[in-house]
Amino acid sequence: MQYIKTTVNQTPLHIIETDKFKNVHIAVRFFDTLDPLKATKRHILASMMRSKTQNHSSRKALSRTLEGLFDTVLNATSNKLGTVHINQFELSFIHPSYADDAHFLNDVLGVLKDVIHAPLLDEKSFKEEKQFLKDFFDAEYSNKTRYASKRYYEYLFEDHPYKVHPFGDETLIDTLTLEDIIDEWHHMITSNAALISVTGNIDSQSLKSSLNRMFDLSEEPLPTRPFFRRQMQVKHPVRETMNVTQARLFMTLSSDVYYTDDDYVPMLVFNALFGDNSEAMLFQTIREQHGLAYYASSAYAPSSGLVTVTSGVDESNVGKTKQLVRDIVSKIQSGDFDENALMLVKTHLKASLKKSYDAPRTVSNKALRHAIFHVPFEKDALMHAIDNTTKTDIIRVANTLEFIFTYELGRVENDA
Amino acid sequence: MTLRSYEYKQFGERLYYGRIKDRLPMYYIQKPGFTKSYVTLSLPLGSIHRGYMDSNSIHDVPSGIAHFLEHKVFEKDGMDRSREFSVDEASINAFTEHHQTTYLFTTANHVKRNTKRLIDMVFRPQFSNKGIENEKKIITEELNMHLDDPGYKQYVGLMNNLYVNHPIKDDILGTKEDILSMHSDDLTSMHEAYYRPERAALVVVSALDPNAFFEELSNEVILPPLSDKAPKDVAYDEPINVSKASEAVSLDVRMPSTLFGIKFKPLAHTDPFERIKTRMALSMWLDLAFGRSSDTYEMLMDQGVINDSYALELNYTKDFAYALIGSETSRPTALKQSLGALLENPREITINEADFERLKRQMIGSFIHVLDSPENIAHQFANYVFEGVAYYDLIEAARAITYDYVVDQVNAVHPGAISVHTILNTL
Repeated sequence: MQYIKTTVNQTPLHIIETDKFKNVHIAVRFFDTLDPLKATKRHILASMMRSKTQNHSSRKALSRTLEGLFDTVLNATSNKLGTVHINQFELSFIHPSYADDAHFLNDVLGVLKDVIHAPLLDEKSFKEEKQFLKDFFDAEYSNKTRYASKRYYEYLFEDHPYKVHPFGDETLIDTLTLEDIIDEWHHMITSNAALISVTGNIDSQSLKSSLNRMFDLSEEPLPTRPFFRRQMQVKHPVRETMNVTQARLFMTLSSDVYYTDDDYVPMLVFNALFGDNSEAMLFQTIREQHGLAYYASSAYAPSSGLVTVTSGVDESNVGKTKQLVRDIVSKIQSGDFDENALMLVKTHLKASLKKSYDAPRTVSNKALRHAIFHVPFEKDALMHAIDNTTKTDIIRVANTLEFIFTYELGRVENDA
Repeated sequence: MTLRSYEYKQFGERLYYGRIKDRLPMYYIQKPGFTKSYVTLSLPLGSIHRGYMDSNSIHDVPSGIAHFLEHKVFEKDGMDRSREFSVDEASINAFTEHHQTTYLFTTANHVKRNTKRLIDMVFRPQFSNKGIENEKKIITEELNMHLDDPGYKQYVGLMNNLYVNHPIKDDILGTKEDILSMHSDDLTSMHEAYYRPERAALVVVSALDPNAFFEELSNEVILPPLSDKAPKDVAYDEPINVSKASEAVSLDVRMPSTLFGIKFKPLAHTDPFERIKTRMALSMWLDLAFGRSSDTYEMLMDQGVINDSYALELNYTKDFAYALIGSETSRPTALKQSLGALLENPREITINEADFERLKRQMIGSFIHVLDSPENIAHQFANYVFEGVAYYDLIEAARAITYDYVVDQVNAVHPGAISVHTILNTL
């Protein structure tokens, strides 16, 4: 796997050359500030760009072109990463050698060029995409696990800039005009920092020549280490009720440890020990030992520094589950776990890391983190840091953690 | 026995096949350059299998037993064997479908040791009453989680209306009552009847040398003795017509949804290659008639009765076959009428030859996409193996399909075999 850094008309182009994949993955990412109005406009824009181009005047026409290009997959998504909003356009296509068509690569890249430089931003698709976005927010209410998660984050980040949803704010959708979207497209193309990543068995020089002819994006420098370094304060717990079969529980621990900090890797190992896999203490205690839940896990978000515990339990077991979660954290803080458990989770983390280079999309995301956070693309440094994490390190980071918030979506008023 | 090798030059792929101890079929796909190995062991026991036979009689078992067994196979001597895999750098999991159960692990190391452990775990579990009682609580919470998901409830509700007698109408997890009634005797008997090496499929996707792998497994694996128990025949007298053509339920949602189901007659006794051809042709017909590049999709979009969630899916095995078409929609009644009118008169849908040729290219691309994912190759392989074909044969089947054959698939759609389920909002 060879990592090549070059440019397309001053826009960074990162190529990961490898012959193990039979498909090629291209991602074009545009970076802007994370702001509710901007996120709403940018998500609608990305969806419209994915729907039609000036050379494909309907969704049907674009779908048919992609099908004819041997099932080329085109995705447009909006994400957030710390303080930045990312509009991402991805193209996944078979290696040209399988296509039996001399024009295949040019045709595929031509579609991407049309999507980026010649989208069809008309009233019809603007109206449709606005409706789809409203539908998306309405649909969040349907699945109660998803709804509980939405409510949890709304309360947790209510006075924090990270509260912005990458798809924007449903209350702002109807304030937008088509002109706003067209202006946003111009801004994105001419002023946003951009990054093009390519993964696959592709000749980098000829690809660069093709992209040079097709793409003319901004020369803005990429954002670097865009974190919200903001220690969260303790918040009042929130309990809401509705007609659910199972209560959903969310608990937040604040760490103040962010991606690339010295304690980042110890936090990763802590989280692996605590709850990010089926061997972790949360799963083993809450599900396997006490039979309280089907799932019980934790997630560490290094761009906000928070650890979130999630589980779904019977209403009558909410109190007991909360206490078990607190007990597990206390155990880790006091060093009440053995070296074998620590070895096991380190093995798990390293195995996951090794395997992560076998999927084109994951490799592309590594290239993104490498570009933004300046962390090594190769696994060796992280493997070494995991190996060197000691029980003392885990106890130290665990003792910086503080429970700051609990959210429950329950069935009836409980006495837990 | 040695491994047989099959080369698929066009795609640079090689498949190896052999039977471990002349019993357990192993399909080995060598993937040079990949760090990850992915191994699945599939058994022909799914939620539709609801009984077993012994020398005396046929025994019926509770719904959800395949799924319950899937959870309990991880147990040995009261311990969860997942930890043993973790120690050897592997992550193990399992899932139950209507027609089969699959155990899997992924690892970057110790592939042989973990595969031997997987075979031992699947074929030689030891259930404890304490473990079974604990699992009842866990699976009840799994079911409770799904019961708060309208999409899940809609699927289960539609299947219940689409089928009259076939057990595919029941939830894979079973009912709460049946979950709570699980007993070790039933679990043991079902395990003996269905978890037979001869009927299983081991699929390995790895960069390692397949011959050394096969030899070591053949020398060291201990398989269970033969059993006097056998699977109960899954054939049910399922009529063409549905149990209920339409149902609307009100739930606590803000976004209503409409889901159509089309029941097809499965081709249980046809030659496997012919069955796969039919499945692919039907899939093409459905894509051309209702897919995102179809005139139907454009019409429904223009009418404003579907959104981004619009989806089309075909499930086609030798024991059952059905398609699902639906969308979240703020106008569920209008979608029901528009799509319902087309499904009642499917011959009015025009399929032209240029579209057919385009779909063939799409199918080849879709096939190649799978080859970059050890997970996808293994799962596709395991699915098709139980249908009697190798995944790589799909390209040959696709090439054998003609335009006329695809157009003829309209005959598979019977007006009486369609059911529609609508979720309305109570707000």
